[in-house]
Amino acid sequence: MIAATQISPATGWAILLTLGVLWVGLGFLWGRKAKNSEGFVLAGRKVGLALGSATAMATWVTSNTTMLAPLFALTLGVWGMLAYSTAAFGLLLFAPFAVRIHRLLPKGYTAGDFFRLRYGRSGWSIFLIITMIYSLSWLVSMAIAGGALLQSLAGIPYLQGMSLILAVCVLYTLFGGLYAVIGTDFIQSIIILVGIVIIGAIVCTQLDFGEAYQHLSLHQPSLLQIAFPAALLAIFNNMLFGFGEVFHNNVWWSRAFAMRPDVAPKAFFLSGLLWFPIPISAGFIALAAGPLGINIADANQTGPVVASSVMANAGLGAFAGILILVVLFCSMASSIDSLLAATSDLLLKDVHGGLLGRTLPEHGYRRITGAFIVLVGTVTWLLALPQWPIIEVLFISGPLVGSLIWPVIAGLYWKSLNRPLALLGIILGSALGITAYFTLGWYTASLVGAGVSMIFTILARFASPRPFPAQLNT
Amino acid sequence: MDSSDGAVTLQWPTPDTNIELQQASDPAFQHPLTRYTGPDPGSVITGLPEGQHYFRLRQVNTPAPSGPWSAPLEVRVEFMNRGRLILLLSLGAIVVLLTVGTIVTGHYRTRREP
Repeated sequence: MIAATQISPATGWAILLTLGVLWVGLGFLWGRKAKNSEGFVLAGRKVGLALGSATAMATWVTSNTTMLAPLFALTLGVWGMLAYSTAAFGLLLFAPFAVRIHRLLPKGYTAGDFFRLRYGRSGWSIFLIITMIYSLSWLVSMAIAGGALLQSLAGIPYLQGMSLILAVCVLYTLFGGLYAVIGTDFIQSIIILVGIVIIGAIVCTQLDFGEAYQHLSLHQPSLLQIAFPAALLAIFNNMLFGFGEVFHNNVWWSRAFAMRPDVAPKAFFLSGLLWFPIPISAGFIALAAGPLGINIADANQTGPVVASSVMANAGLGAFAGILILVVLFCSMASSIDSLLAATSDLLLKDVHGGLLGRTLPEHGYRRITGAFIVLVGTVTWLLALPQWPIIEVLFISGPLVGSLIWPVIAGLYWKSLNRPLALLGIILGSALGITAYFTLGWYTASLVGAGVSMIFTILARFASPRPFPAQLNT
Repeated sequence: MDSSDGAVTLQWPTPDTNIELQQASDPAFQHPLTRYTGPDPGSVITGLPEGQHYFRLRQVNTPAPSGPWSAPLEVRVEFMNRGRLILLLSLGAIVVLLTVGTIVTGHYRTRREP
């Protein structure tokens, strides 16, 4: 058996503080570019192709990618790796969306603008409930994963590690707004890509592929089985979960608004292509666990355990821990900052401005946007404190976001719709999807949610449809 | 214990010594396979084929004699039935094709609109 490596708490703290100071410093520096609220919230709507592609890709490389892709490979085999990669199609399909979004909402700020103007107050409220459940569970699951990882890899107590990761992301988002988020995402995406390639290459050198295949055939045959039901269903389920996540969430809409209209579709398409192989590279190493005799005691730690074990076996003990920590810290930070910014924008524009009817004074925008970023960060910290299994909530939110896929498509491309019927489809799709999660298996939930909502949305196109306004004025 | 995806997480109290975990396809363990030996308090077993599987563990006190085997744990792996699988896969294919098709046709239909 191979033993996993660990780095000392002092090394762990040194890495975290070095990266933390770097991100906060860059955030402060880039934040000076923001001269008004639009500059702070949407980076002046002038983001170019390189930064646009990098921020979309880095945001999608979450701790869930680096931690869950190996778990998918470990439990679902070869199909599992591919299933996780299908989430890239969400980014690819957002490319044509970006064209339409810029045309319909040239001055838009949030995804909430779209739902409010297309589906009225009821649809807007349903959207806000779903997106808040999803965004907060995504945010909290990453904070928890970060704290747990620091504890297992560097021996840093959970509370301290989780608090530090969150504090660093809150600080640089607070100082720099979307300028800081996009700038740091660019650097983080390069570190993540290089790190995953190095780890994958080392695993390849340690693995005899012929022996590995024989081991899997003998001891874990289902992982190589073509007709493996859970894995086959996971492909469609994960693809639709990814569609729902990307199509509805303000993380992606705010990026579309922030990019130049001619750049946005290219940037999303490119980011999808760049992202596609990442879960395969990150997940592939988990297939080596059995053949290399690595015991996985906690499924949620599959990736770090296999990577550190293999690298330790290659004589890279301390380097392994440092590299894994840096890659995972970057993947968490690149998503936490984006979610902090996008969720606080949504609260600011849709709840503070929309539901409460307050105006955002140009002279005091930093104070108010800052307050919302700190609020989201504090709520996340409080929810992450008990280290409860919120990853389950994130999975259960799959049918909720899946049921928003078709209402988004209809709102963007169709001229008329029976809106109450489409909204009923969202509610029924969510309810039946959650039911499927518990009765049929997690790998069917988003599929059922999206399918039910699709049927209702198509019916809503033909059953007493009412026209949408041609132009959406925010 | 039942599993619908061939994966099962086995956990036991943190041991004082190493643990040996064995798997077999019969409760008498006539042809046992050692899945793990070490100090971890659990093991995630994946890729099991459909059917009955049995697991047992004991403490390994080298060089002293090992402890007694635990009572076998039966794990029954049963995948989703083929009829339901084909129905859900068909639904998945239809939803994905219609989603992608509607977006692509919507894009080409509206791209020249002002």
